[in-house]
Amino acid sequence: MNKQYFRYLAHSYRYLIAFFFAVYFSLSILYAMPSDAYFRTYEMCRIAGVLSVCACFVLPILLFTFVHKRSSADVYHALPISRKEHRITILLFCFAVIFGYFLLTCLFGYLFYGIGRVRILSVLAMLGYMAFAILTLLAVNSALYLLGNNILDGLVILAAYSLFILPCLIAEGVITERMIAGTNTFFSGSVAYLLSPFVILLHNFFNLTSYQSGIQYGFRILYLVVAAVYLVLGWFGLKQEFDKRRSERAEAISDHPLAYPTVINMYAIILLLVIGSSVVRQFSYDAILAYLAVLVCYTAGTFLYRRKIEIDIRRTGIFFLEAIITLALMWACWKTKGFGMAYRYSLNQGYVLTYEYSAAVEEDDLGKHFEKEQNVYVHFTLYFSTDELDRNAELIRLLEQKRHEAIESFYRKYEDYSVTLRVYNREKHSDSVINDYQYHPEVLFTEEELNYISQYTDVIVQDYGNYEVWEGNEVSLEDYLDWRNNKH
Amino acid sequence: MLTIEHLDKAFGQKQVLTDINLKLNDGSVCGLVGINGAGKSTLLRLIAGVYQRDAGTIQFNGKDTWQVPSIRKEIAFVADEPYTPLGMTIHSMKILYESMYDFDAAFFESMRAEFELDEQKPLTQFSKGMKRRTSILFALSTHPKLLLLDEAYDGLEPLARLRFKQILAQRIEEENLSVLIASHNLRELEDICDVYSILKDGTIAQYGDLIEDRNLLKKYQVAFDHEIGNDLFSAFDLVRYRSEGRVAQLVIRGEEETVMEELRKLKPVLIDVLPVTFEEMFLYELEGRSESHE
Repeated sequence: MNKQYFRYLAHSYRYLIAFFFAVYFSLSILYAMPSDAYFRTYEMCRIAGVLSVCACFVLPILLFTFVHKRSSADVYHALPISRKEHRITILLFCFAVIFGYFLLTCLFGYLFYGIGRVRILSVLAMLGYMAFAILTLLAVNSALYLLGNNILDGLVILAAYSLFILPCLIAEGVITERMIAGTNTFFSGSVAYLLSPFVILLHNFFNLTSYQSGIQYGFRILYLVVAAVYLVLGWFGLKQEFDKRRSERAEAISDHPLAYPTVINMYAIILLLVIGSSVVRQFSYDAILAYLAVLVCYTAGTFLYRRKIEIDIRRTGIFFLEAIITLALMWACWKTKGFGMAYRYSLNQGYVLTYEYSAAVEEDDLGKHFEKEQNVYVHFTLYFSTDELDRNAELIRLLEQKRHEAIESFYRKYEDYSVTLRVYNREKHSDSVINDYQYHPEVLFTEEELNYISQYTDVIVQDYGNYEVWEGNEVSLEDYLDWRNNKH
Repeated sequence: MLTIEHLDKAFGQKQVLTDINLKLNDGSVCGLVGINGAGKSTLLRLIAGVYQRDAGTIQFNGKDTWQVPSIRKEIAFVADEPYTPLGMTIHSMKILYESMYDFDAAFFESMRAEFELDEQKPLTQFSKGMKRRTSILFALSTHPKLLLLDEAYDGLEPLARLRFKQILAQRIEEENLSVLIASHNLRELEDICDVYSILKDGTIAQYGDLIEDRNLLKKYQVAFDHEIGNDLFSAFDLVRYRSEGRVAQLVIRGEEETVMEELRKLKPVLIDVLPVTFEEMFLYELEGRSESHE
């Protein structure tokens, strides 16, 4: 680190630092005040953490901007310090400012509200974790910002990478719904989260600041490991983009392989995967329009960053190749029943296994999909303790057989049935739902099967058109069958 | 002393500088000339450590200007485009120079007052000339041993230009300052440079002592009593030849006395000798190179 340069930064940015600190500190206090005194330390640390993450985007932009302008690069790159010293000084300065804010806010929260209420260990854990998180985000965000060759491109590329999680989350949801029977929640956003360092770092941080369960609950080691990988990547990326940067790139077009060429292609691939899943699930001519729309966006994106309009055969070729590969991938996914994930579920998780069934059926046959206007709804819920699954093996076999049929029919033909078979577990500690699958089976439970199930739980029949006949609009299966027999 | 050996630099696929070799002694002022895109600014940025070279070495006082950053304390670079970021004032810029260089605050203050530069006014509100004066002021306040000036006179009014030249002359004499000036204003360079270097297509087309080379190059106007052709002057190192009837206008490289002696042997009725300016030297060099390429 270069002390003179550090001092210059501190002197030069002193008003900005003071302003940010005032905003940071007052926001933390304002946010925490409505909470009970017991929770205030955590609340202050939590908002301080969120503001720190925001600052990890703002400060690198401010301090590395000089590389994007020719006139400023002439001054700063001619300074009598090495590029390595320069980079490390800027990073440490950003770290000192942001972590300094966080440290002061946490200490304030602890000293004024936390002593005797909050364990010092949890405050230290938060501080240690945030030191790691801030360093990781500074390295990653700085490296991403430096991929561009001018300020605007740097901002666009940083935003494009940082927000890539959003289209990924949407695509993940859409593709799993279309490709994996049961709307498999195997991923539940966790894969998309891995693409975003700030999301995974905040996720674990929120768990550290969760006053109900302390450090252990929900803190994902995987996220920590991935964040460490991001730190290494960011560090080496920044070293490459700053220390070995060719200063003549300032104000040039941002054609670094990881800049626009990658950004445009990764967004295009996500869109093409979504369209591909739609084509494979049920082809419609709208898909052609969708492909054309993405091609137009792709070409416009290429025009914008290259700042010239020309038809590039190579790039257009790459787009078509991506379209074919994504379509083939979705086709393979479909043919392999979601790469085998439709059957990759587990019954024995958490403490309870639940089956919920709800179907719109014919009034005269509760095992038939409704076709006429006279229809009724059948629903039941079954709970099994995961410790006693063997005791209910026969019933579970029947339910699982229905699930298998639902999976097979999902891949056989596209039909939207008004039937839902939902299977899920509940987690031991939090009671939250895990392994949540929803099927729309083609083959329903027969009346005989429903009778069998009714020995274990209430099977309810609803008929919205018979208020006068029934008490309310719900009856048990037995009462319904009696009512129907009497009616006939 | 600045020593550049076998320097290469490319911007992507485009080769900008090829096998540049240059030596600049202490206390020497070198004028770097060339047409736009010849690579003058690139060369200065390479010396200043802004750009990284692809091959070759650049050493100042025996130290590599890229690998030994501390040597850059002795180098000041005034770029063609002054650095005037939004919201920055002379005062805030001074913090940078005070932190990073051996900054002469007394000299700075006296010159700032002389150049009438408001310390608290945002640099973006300065005129072109004021921005240029600010850049030069900061460069001189670090007391460099090597001063790199890219289009230094651009935007400076005559009085500031004169004062700047005076300070340069003083620094050269008292502190043995070396200066490398890239400029299109060859008349200005002529007043201050002792050596020159002509850059063309990324290579040094010509390098030498300005006074010596100017003395070696002369314009001769020769009249004969008969029609003539250029074959008559094949024995001379002819840089330029123009003839109209019986009168020839020649630019010949060589000692004046020797050339005159040889010309007299051709029995002309009249010989007139004129000196060449730096600007003309540059033009002849470019013309000569183009013709030889053709």
